[in-house]
Amino acid sequence: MKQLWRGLVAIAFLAMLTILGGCGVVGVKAWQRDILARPEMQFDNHLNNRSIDDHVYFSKEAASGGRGFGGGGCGCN
Amino acid sequence: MQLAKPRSIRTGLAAVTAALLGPGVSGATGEGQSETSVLIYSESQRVTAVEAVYDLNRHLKGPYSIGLTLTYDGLTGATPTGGAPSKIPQTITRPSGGTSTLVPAGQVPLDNTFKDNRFAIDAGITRQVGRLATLSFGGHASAERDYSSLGVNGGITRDFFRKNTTLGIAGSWFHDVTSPKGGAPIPFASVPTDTVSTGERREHHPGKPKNINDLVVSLSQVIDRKTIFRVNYSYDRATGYLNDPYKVLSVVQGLTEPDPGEPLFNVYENRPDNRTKRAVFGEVRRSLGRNSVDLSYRYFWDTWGIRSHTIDLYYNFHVGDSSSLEPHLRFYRQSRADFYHPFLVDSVPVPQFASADARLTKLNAFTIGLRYVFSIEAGSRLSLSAEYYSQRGDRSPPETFGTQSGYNLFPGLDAFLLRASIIHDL
Amino acid sequence: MISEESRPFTVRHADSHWVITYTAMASPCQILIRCEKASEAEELALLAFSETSRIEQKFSRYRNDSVVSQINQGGGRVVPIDDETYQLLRFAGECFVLSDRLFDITSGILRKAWTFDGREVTPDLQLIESLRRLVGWQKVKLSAESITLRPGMEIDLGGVAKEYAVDKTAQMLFESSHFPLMVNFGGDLRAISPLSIRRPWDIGIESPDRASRPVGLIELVHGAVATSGVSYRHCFVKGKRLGHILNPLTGWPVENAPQSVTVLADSCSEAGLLSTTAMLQGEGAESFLTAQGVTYHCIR
Repeated sequence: MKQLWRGLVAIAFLAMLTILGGCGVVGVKAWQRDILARPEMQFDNHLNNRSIDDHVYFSKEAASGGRGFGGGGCGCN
Repeated sequence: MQLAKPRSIRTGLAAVTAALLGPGVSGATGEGQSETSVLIYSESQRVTAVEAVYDLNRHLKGPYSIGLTLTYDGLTGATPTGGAPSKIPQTITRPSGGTSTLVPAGQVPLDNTFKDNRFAIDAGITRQVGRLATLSFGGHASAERDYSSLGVNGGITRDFFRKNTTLGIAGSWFHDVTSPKGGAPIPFASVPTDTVSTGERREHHPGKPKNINDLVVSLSQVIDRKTIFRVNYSYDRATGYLNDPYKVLSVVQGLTEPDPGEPLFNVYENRPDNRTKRAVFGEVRRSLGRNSVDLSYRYFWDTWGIRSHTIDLYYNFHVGDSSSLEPHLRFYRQSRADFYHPFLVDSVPVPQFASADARLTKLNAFTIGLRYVFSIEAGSRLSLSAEYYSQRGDRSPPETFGTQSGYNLFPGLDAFLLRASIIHDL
Repeated sequence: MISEESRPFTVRHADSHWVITYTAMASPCQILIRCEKASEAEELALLAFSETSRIEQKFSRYRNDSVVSQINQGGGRVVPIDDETYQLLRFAGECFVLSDRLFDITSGILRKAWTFDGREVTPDLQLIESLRRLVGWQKVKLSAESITLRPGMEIDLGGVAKEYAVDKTAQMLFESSHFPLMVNFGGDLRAISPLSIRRPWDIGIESPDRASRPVGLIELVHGAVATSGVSYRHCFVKGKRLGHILNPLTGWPVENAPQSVTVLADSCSEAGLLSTTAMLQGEGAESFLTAQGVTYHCIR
């Protein structure tokens, strides 16, 4: 029941975001992408550093995933 | 006014133009990027690890680009066995029954013969499909002395609403094999206290397999000129051999025995043969003048009863023309696994699953760090970072009794991470 | 709904691309773009025209409501500026340093001492001297929030605004569509193509008299071209013919400047700075450009 409630909240949130994005309430026009084009405004631009971090945390903590995959490839957990 | 031999101003001009127009000037011509990093991880008096990574991204002719990552991991040092402290010194033997270590009284037993080297290779290819979509495929292979892994992954992304919204779906499948030296131990079997190898206590199957399936759905959204946001949902299911063959639990004397709480002997742990992990992750990044801030939160839950919260904060300061300074803070908290027991009690029925692995208990962790990136010549940058990572937990979990109440059952962890990378624009 | 006749731009289809034309920044503006549908071309035309007009209105010396006019009417006061204006002025300031002070956006007022109508003139040396005292970017105080000119000083962004508009318009169109494109504002142009589609645009370099055939042909996939000069404005001093490019350090026209200089670079702003600085070298235009390692074309 709790799982179902969580699922509905997630879907409602995503639907809201999509509708706002589609209607242009959030988002930018094409000529407003100057700041967004900067490297520091790209997700995953420091990919290597964050993935090394994730590997360290994966071997010292129980949780994994979020940013990317949470799965296999290492015997450290 | 003429100079004897005019000097070249192109590099300086390119730099000031990039500041004026943004990276779009050369970004679209970039053939790729390579990054070589070295990480040193050092826990005080415990594990030391070195990781070296070479990462390459290269654009090929047409809509294809490839990625390659080579990783080396080396690990040495002392790690907790999962056993409980005793009022007398203890001896612990290696799983293969080789050398043994002496543990002082009152201390959580550590196995300091831990040593491993791991090599991994990841390769992938991405194809731009039309203007709004991409398709990716990749593979992974890695090996260490007692563990090997093979995996494949694939994903698609699609842009919507004038590239303000991007939806991504990715999946992976891994097949891992654990091959501990001496074979995988029988769950709850007693750990031998002498150095003579006792063959009957071991299974003779050298490799225990594990299959892992992952799915990640991500949605990123441009909020305004200065803000981007994304939310990910990740799902992971592992089935097969999920035990740690080197971790043990102490069986301690019960309340009716002469020395309640004192360890009698150790047994191997046992975890379920399946685990489903889920996480919801949200991240927002905002530009503030020439600086930027990145805040993310992850909520994680799994079928082993663990729930965790992670908050990550980065603030990027633009320094001078092309350098940056980035402080970092991270807060992590996890609850304990259903089958976590700091120890087992003699004459109490053995539960179906039990592990004393400190990574499965209730703990808080904190990271503080600083990263400095600067240009070393045109197209190359050097990144240096230093971080401090600390874990704290219950010194006396709820079920502690007897002599165990006098010991610190979670001595914690203090580690430094030093990292240096060179990034080349190709 | 804008009717066909009153639209400020036109959109037509050529064999493998669309052609968008309008007039802005005192130049014929033409954008070639390889989009697929007419509706896309229309949308992008509106985008391009809006961005070009925006930059023109903001940085034109001739408009009373422009940022440049506000700055020039400052009369010694601190004039607040926004981030884009700061970035452009900072760029001009860096070019001042890189060109050893030959490129100077405060040198526009020197034109008050000269008339380039092809006739013999006797320059007013006192006027030139007094105007020279009001020239010099080093005399300007620029911060991220404001600019302060000394009373009587003026800035003229004519030497950077058109190239900047070419770059911004091209980048904006590309970022929003990812179609191969070329933006050409009267000979200052920029081509951008995604790495996955690389087909060149053919560009001819006009000869100064415009009537005859192109004197050069460039195949451009990705990069920019800017041209300086190309004007017949000149005068005679003591029988010697002088062109209209003024040296900010002397106050006099540059001697033996080429008739036109065309430079190829990664961006139009860079190409523009290099071609203008080359012109200002006069006799040494070619050796300056050779030292920069760029492809160029000088017409004398």
